[in-house]
Amino acid sequence: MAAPAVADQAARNQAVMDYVMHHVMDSAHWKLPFLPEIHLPGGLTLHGVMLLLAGLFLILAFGLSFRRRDPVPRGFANVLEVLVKFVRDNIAIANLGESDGRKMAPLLCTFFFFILTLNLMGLIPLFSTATANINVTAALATTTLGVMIGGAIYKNGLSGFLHAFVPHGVPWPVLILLTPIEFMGMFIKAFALTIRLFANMFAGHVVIFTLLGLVVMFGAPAFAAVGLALGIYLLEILVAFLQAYVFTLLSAMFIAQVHHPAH
Amino acid sequence: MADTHQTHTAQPAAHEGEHGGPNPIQVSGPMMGLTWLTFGLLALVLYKVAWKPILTALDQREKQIRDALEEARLTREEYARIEEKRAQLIDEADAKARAIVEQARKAAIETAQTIEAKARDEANILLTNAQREIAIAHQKAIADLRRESADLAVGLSRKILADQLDETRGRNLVDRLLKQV
Repeated sequence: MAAPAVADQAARNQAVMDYVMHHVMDSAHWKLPFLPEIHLPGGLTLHGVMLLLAGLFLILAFGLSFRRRDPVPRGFANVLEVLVKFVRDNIAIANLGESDGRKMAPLLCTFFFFILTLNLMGLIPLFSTATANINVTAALATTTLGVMIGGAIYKNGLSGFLHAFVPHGVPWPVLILLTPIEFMGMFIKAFALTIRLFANMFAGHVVIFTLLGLVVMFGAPAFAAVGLALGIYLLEILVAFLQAYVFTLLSAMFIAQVHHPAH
Repeated sequence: MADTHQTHTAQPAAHEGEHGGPNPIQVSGPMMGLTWLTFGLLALVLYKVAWKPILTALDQREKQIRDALEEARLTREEYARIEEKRAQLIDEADAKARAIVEQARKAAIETAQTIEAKARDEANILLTNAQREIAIAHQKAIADLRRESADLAVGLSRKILADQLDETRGRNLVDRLLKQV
């Protein structure tokens, strides 16, 4: 009598785990309500579709909001403008200085809005979180890495870029240890960017789905978990903004560190 | 993209980690490639559609606001200067008007004094003339009266004399008168 019950519980737990993983992982299908499951064409995955949709949404949102070259923005354009100004003043110029900050503002704005849109899309039912895919965050972080290296070589020359890894006034035995660490540090920063965004988005969704899964595992007594899931969901909205901000801010800081090695 | 498709077709094997569950850190080149492509294109398009116009508009607006504030400050200063000048002009005009009134008052007093003096002189002259004429008329009246009374006396005496005078009496009277004279 006991053994089948335990086996049943284990099967249910496994089913919940599979369900949770299925919902946070990438897949080649897109399930919409009242429609047969869509098989995505051309090797496209669900997260890939999310990337394209986010891109389209941003182009449409900005394209339509700033269609008129009105000196006084209205409605949604105000919201977008506040965020753009925030990225320019508080992230780009604050970390990179007036001149470089203005040049880097478009790239950092793209980071911020792209990541924010992908994060928020993950909170809308039927959509999926592309930033919970490590390949997406890795691609974004390597873009930052590319700007760090490319920009530093462009600004300071190849020798200037390499000299930044050899701190002044340090005895040579220490340099043998320090220079590789400094060099690796650059890649570790990009790696940290990748993992930070991925882990935050992935974990947040796992927590929400697992809390809902508790109802399946334990039945009616676990209904309180739905309230908790709602709380986590609301927290995830904050996290979506926060992680977009953090990624953009750290990108700006890392770029500034490599571009201005004196600091 | 073909790789992803392959990955998908081989999904059960590829996505399963050591413990039999799906592997969340499965590396996929095409997925990274798609992200780079999407991000790159998005950055380019948004630069044209959004960042450039928005950032330019922001800069322009900031400049406009700064200019407007500066202009307002200058206008305020200019106004204060004009106000000061206006007050100064009013003070000057006031002083001038006061001076003019004062001058006019003095002139009026002088004129009045002159007219009064002249009138007094003229009155004096008139008075003197009148007194002189009165005196002359008085003298003339006295003389006339004398002449009249003499004529009357002579006429009366002639009448009396014509009535009463005879030779002897006349002789006596003449003698007496001569004696008296």
